[in-house]
Amino acid sequence: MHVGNGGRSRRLGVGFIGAGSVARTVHLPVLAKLDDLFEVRHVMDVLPEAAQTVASRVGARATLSQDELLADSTVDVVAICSPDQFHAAQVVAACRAGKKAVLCEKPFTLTSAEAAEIAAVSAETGVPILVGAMHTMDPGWLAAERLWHDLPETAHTLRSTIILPPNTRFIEFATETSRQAGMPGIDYDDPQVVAALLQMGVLGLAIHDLPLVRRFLPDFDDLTVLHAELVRPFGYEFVMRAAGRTIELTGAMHEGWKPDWTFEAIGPDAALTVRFTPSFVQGGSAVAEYACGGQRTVSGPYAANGYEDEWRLLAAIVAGAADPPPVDPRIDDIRFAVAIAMAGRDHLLGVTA
Amino acid sequence: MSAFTVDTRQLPGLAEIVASLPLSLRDAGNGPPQIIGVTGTGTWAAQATAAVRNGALAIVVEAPVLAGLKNVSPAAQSRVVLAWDFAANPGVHAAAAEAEALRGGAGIAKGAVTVGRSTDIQVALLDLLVAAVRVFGEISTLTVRHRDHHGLYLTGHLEGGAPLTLSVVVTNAYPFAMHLRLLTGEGGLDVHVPSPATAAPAEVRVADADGERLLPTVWVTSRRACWQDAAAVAAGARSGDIAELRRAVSLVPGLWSLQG
Repeated sequence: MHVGNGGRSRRLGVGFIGAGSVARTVHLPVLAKLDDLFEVRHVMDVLPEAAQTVASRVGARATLSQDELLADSTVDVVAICSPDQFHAAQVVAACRAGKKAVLCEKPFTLTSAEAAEIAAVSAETGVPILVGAMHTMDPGWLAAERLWHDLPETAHTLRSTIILPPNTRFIEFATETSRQAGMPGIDYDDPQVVAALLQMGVLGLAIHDLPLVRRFLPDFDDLTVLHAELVRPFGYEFVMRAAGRTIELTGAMHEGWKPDWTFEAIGPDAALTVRFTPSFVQGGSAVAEYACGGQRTVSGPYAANGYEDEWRLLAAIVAGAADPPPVDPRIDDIRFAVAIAMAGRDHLLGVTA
Repeated sequence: MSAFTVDTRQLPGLAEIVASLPLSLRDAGNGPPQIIGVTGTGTWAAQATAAVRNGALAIVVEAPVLAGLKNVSPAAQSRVVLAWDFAANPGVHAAAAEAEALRGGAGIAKGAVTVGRSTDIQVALLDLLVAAVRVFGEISTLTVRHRDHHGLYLTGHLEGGAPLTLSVVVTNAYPFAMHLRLLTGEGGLDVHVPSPATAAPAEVRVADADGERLLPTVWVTSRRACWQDAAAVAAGARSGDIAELRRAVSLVPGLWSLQG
């Protein structure tokens, strides 16, 4: 998608709510590349040093006040990169502030009720909301959509594998930043702690690929978790059934260097494999491979990645060159993730009680 | 070691195997074969037992079904070589040797085999179970989580407590293959075994803090490797394949009821 720049003076002003690693390592480099479309004008964080550090890099104003940022008339687009639990309220506030668009990092809510509220506010205010789900915008994934024919209807097995070294490794590949604290001591003997970690795994890691899984599910009303287990030190293993499909989710974070981020959809006669780059790395797109009858078609990698195309879409929406994506599918994504997290928790506590 | 005789008409493609192992095997012609080849249909155990009784030195059973396993005679046990499509690949043995040092630090283990629609799912599962036992070592009792005509899923644990998931998935999308993974804190082991129809080698990769090693590749089909093993058994070696299969089968209570 290409949106004409219309001159640098016509750039959209961006305000960041939350100046942590995602803002620094993901969005700032992308916006630096898209400087014909965007300019960062205001940065808010509850930590003064964080706000000041990020703002000073891009010549923006720094603030500790969300209200001050939302009242800034030079901010056209609000990017929400705060901790997950604040997303919903901040999305609603940004919509009510009359901004031109909101980009919210995933998950944009943690409950179905919040999701419904966001949908209502978006409809009422007309402010488009884009959820930062980089894999659904990845050019490799979009190429897969063009390849897969009727596989969404015929696939019987879906697999998401996310095996990652610590995020800090890839953050350091993407930018220079101070090291983050490692994982705190975890009491693996406490079933409640283990269940909470499993939920974190779903809502923090698996959630990246759950929208992809959902593309192959007509619905998930009969979602059944057949097996759920924590993978140490942090990760998950799920075997589930929904809508006649078997779904396998594997997540594991380890101290090594080798990542594997792969999504597979397998049907009787065709199969799709999409290999993604690790998070944070601005290393181009995923690679999609469609196999059918012994023939394989490979698409990608492409130079752009999902983060970049999210921002390009946002610019196109504001310019009226693209329709805003419907919010309902994103709400269903959240419902799906929450349903898995809760069912996994129940399964685990039932097993360990 | 003199070449042992084989009735090359017993199984399709056997003449080719025998011809490729001229120092180990030769065609029996009209004489009695010293090594017998049987397909792994429901009567394989009876055939193997009878063959040993009649003087056979080794028996190769190709893709055996579960039925009959209990009926293998004690005399035949150590003379039977089970020709698994995947587990018998030399790469699996190489992976098993590497895995020994990694199992204690395992965080998760996975085994997946994809087979075509004409494949017996139970045979594919037995193949995967044997490969898993070879590479992952001690495994807890496995639970069948799901089974239908598209495949099946089982879960359990390694001896150290790491979760293990095994799956058989049916698709004609691409050539059959098996993939085993043992993930450790610093890396782990990845084993990719290609279709048994090709001599393309299994790829065994071991990752650690220093990088990744691809073990030397062996361009031999599982089937040829098994007939080499059979020649060794005929020369006096003892096969542990039946005992190993019994151990693998014991990991899945109710596996007998999954037949068909």
